[in-house]
Amino acid sequence: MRDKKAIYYELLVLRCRQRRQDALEELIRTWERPLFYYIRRLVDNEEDAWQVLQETWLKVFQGLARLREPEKLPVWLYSIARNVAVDNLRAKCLERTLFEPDESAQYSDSDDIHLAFDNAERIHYGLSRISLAHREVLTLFFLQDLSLEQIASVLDIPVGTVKSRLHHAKRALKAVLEQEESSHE
Amino acid sequence: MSEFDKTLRERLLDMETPNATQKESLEKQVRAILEGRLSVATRLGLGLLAGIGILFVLDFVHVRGWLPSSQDMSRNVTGSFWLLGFISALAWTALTAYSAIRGRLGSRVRASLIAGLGAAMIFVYLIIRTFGIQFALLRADPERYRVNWDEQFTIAVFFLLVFAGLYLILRVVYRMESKTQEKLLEIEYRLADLAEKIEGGRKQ
Repeated sequence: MRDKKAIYYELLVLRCRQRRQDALEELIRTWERPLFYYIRRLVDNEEDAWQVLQETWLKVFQGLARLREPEKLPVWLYSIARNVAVDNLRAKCLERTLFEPDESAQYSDSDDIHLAFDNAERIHYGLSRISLAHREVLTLFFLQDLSLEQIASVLDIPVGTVKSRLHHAKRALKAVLEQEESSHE
Repeated sequence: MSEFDKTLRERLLDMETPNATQKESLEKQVRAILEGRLSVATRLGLGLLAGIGILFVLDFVHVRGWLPSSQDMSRNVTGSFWLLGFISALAWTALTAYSAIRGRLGSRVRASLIAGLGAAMIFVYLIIRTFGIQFALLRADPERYRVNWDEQFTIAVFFLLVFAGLYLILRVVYRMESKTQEKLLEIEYRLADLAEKIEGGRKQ
């Protein structure tokens, strides 16, 4: 039997294709917050983020009829949001430098990356302090809408790269949080 | 996804506190997209189309005089054909004008309906204009040209009806297919939900 979520996404897309107002509103209601959270981590200011989200919705409404695999709706939504955000960054000539992950930083072997990432406030703060590539992969990971394979699909990189980037991103986040903690002490 | 993860996700989303004014502004814009609200340029364009529609309606009234005058099949066929074009032109003009004034394409008044009416109007108009000389000959000497004319015109109408019929059949089939697929997905979703509950019950 297929995954319940996949069936739900297919049903939602089908109803949206029938131009049903309730389905379109449900689509927005379900995805507005996570998409905005993701976009907000990619673009500098809130005004740009709203602009990117609006453009994302426009592309979603225009492209719904052509969506080939409706069960992969979240991947498609995040991909569109990412592409629009990248275009926004490109317009500001920031994409090339910001999307390169900084994996040169050295961490001690004793670093325990199996942190209890349960403090939303600290994670939220920490995300704003790490590189864009790390922030992006960690945001998608924490939002829990996508599997690693799906994150790879959104970022257009191999799954192995997602795993290693996630590993480095967690270490970077941990380092930032520890630094912050020690500065308070 | 565990409850712990769900909570973290929700808490993370709650950390983002968007500017209420900007959020409201976006929601208004998205609502406008959903409701098919039209920009000023589009409304002006529709107004222009309504103006063109009025010209078509007037010209349809003008070409009405070309149609065969005798009370036979030629008149009935061409008369019905003309009426189809005339009604399409009237409806097209009314819809474009109404949409331009109202400023939105509602769920009933769709762009596809306007396009369909426009296509029917132009098709009939072109046929009548193309056969303009034939109409004149028919009026001058009905006995001599009627057979030739009836054949040609019947073929033109036949093609129009075939295409219109095909279009309608395809639309009905698509709608039925879509409805059936929706019902099947609803059943599949309920089954998956049930299976999940049974599985959850077993684990407890």
